[in-house]
Amino acid sequence: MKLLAAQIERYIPHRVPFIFVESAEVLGPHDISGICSWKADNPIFAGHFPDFPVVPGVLIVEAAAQLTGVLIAYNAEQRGISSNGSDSADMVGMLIGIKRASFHRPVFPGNRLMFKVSLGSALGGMVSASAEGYSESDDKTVKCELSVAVANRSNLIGVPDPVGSLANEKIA
Amino acid sequence: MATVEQVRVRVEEIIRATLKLGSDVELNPNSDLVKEIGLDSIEAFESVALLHDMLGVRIPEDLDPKAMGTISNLSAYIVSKYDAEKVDAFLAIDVAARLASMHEGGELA
Repeated sequence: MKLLAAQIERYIPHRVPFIFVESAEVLGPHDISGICSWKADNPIFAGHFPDFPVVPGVLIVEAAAQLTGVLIAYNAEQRGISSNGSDSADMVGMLIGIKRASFHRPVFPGNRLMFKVSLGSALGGMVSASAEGYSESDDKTVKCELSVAVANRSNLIGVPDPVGSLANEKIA
Repeated sequence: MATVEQVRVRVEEIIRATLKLGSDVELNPNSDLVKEIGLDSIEAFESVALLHDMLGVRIPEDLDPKAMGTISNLSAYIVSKYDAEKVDAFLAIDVAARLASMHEGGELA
């Protein structure tokens, strides 16, 4: 299933200037590919860096997390959990862990990264994922392993263990 | 045939690695990982996910998280759920070396 920008915005709440997924293709319940990019007029480049704009590594990992979020929401929709339903409207995917990340070459404004993300284990509303990103000339650019949780946004503040308290079900 | 006790030793090793606990810190296998040992939900998830990574499987979708609350329960689950070949491979893993390679940026599994 191929997803374009408007469809991607149905699955994740991110918006300009903080949505980096241009398009995606769901390859199966555990796999998604996608094209991510950073426009030259994104305000982040005014500071990173003046006269030498480079995409920050954290935003490259964020792009992988966004793609992970698209697949989680897509899977939920396939299982009949509406992404627009009243219960899910208050839910948000949160990046809860970056186990490892390596950046093999710089990414500049206007470059496109071709990502492949594979979901690993899932439990209690938390999901691990592995991502690899390649340049348009197919050079290895980034590898990372991350974890994402789906939590209730209205109760995330002021709770000692917000993910555990508010994920779909507790882990223990 | 691997015993629950053999698996328990390996599970404890992984929990210690997750929490960065020294061998001098006592870990009661029957203590609740969250309420008594002090893992938060993310650490508990990472521990259970790591156990399954080392078994070479994803966490089963029907896994009851409430049944995974102690090292003893996790060990019994592994022995009852997975075949002898998988459990033997799990016991043969060098946990410290595996974790070191994960943290040093080796190839993704």
